[in-house]
Amino acid sequence: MRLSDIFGIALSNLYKSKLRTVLTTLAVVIGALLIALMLSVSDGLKSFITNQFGSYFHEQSITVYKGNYSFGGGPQEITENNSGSTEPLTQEDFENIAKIANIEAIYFNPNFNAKSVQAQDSDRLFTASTSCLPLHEQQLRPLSVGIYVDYEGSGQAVISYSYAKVFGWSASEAIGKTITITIGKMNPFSTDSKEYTFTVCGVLDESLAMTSIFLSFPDAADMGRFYADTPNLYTEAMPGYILTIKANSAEDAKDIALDIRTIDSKLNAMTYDDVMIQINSAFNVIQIGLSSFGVIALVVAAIGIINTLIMAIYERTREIGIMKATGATKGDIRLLFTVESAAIGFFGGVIGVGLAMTIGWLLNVIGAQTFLSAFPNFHLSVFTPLVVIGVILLTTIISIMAGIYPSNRAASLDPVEALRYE
Amino acid sequence: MQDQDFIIVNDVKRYYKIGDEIVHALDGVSLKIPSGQFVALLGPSGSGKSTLLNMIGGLDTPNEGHITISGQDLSEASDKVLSSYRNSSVGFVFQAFNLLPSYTAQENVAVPLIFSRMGKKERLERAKDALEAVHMPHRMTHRPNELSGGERQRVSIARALVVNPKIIIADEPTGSLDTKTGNHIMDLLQELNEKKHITLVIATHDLSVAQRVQRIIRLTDGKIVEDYMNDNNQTVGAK
Ligand SMILES: Nc1ncnc2c1ncn2[C@@H]1O[C@H](COP(=O)(O)OP(=O)(O)OP(=O)(O)O)[C@@H](O)[C@H]1O
Ligand SMILES: [Mg+2]
Repeated sequence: MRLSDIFGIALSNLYKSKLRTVLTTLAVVIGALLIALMLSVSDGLKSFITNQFGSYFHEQSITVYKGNYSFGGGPQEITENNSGSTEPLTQEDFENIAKIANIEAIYFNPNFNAKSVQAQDSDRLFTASTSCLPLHEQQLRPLSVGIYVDYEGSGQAVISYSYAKVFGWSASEAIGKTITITIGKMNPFSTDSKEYTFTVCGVLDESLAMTSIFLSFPDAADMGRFYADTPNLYTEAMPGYILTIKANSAEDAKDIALDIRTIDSKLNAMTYDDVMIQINSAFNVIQIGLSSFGVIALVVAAIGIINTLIMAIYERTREIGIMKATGATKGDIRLLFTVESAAIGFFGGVIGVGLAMTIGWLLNVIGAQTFLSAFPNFHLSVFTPLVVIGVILLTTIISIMAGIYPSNRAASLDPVEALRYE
Repeated sequence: MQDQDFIIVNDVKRYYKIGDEIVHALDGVSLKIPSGQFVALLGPSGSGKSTLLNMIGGLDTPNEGHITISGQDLSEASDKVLSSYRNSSVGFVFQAFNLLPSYTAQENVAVPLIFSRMGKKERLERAKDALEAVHMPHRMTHRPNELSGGERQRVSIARALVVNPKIIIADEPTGSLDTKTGNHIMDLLQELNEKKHITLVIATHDLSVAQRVQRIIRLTDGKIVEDYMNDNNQTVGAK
């Protein structure tokens, strides 16, 4: 048989039993719609999250810490190589790290939680976490108004949009206002505290979903030293818990991270790539979970296809007999039924993905005007070519698989019996 | 010219197991049909006529014995070989016509050519010629349910004819028709046999139909009981 005849006959057979074809295809459409929509929404979320994380992690940055972060899980055995928690970095660590090639700069990381922050002319207290942003990471956190604090300066602060909001200021009103941060002591039995006052010089862009106050290094370090009662903290002698390294390039960052890990097995170095891999693997789990609803729908659809094709065999038994008597091979008949099931899967997939794209588009349009208006760059539903082609391919393959048994059954009909069939 | 050993049926047995019982549809049948002969299988219902026809047409294979057509053994042939044999060498005509209801007469006639991988245009052209050969040029676009029984049988004969077969097998071709229409169909088959030298094997239990052919083979209980040349085959039909 010619391919054109196989497709022509298969499609006209589907057309002849329109209602049944439509109903069978509907199940495939629902499955494809669910899978495509779930994947597109989780892709949308993924790109949102990676963009957000992209604004925390610079491609040239390497975050270095010592020991393990323990995120729940069972009890861990404490051994020479695993203290069970993070440890402060030592002067020796610092010196070893500083010897590695292609490092552009090493930054200390004076970030910690202050007791409170309070706006001028107000008694309302808010929680505050302060930090000092290495110069190259400033570009990741665009300002809506103002300028960044001078890294080596003093008395200035950049606040996130969320602070301006709770202080009752618009972003531009905030510039020039003062805020007071109160620092306690790390030692829980000490009631000692100290107040620092800063002038707001910049406000972060609203799209950055973060709650932070950025200070100059001398200010942040001073507050940290008071907090920990350690005057030489954030120096080479006492680097603190975390170092941020700026590599000469993103490629160098990976090599430097590897080198750091080989200095001491307790040293951990995390790059942009490592973070993205973790985010991606988390999202893969989410995507599999969400799309399982669609997969269940597709399994139901596959059963529907099997049922439809078996009914078609009964209806067309005589026709199959005639085809065999006039020269159709088993392979011809098998192919006819396979193409029919593949067509159901293909068209179901195309329609399902088309509907999903329409719904996704509506979600984005409606979302942008309502619940997502705060995130102008966030598209809830994102269709990658992989999802579009992948889902259509998936429904087609599942349908072909569903067609295997009916196709073989049709192909192996005895022509004599088939021609006698009433 | 005439191939004396065109169809050779050699001690063919075909049986069906139904529970503990074995039904012998064919119980050791042997015969030879030279090319170009017009043969009728005659016998009561259940005597094995259809079974033998299906064997010769490559629709069924024997449990024992051999069927050879032009030297080719069909008994153990593969599905591919049998399909291509049915496609290019045999035409089937059935009592129940077996036309595809959604196809026009012309499309029905063209069906075998689909499996010969012929293009659509040429197929329909050939189908038109075949319909002309069965004197049906005026019903090409009719569907089977718009045709009379005799017309339907002509369409199915055209379908058998369209591949230029060496053999036409007709299982009670007049069985669903009244005597007069049946006679016209027999006229047509006779014409094809004489003009195109197609070997024709038909099954019937109607003696008056059988009288019109060259050779009559009588079957009873899956065995040949009589096999003779019919001398007055031209005259009987006129009665
Ligand atoms: N698939 C089958 N299963 C069981 N028995 C069968 C089958 N096909 C045919 N038979 C038996 O084989 C015998 C011969 O059948 P066949 O159809 O060849 O007879 P026939 O001479 O064509 O009869 P009729 O004139 O009624 O068409 C019958 O007894 C029939 O019951
Ligand atoms: Mg019969």
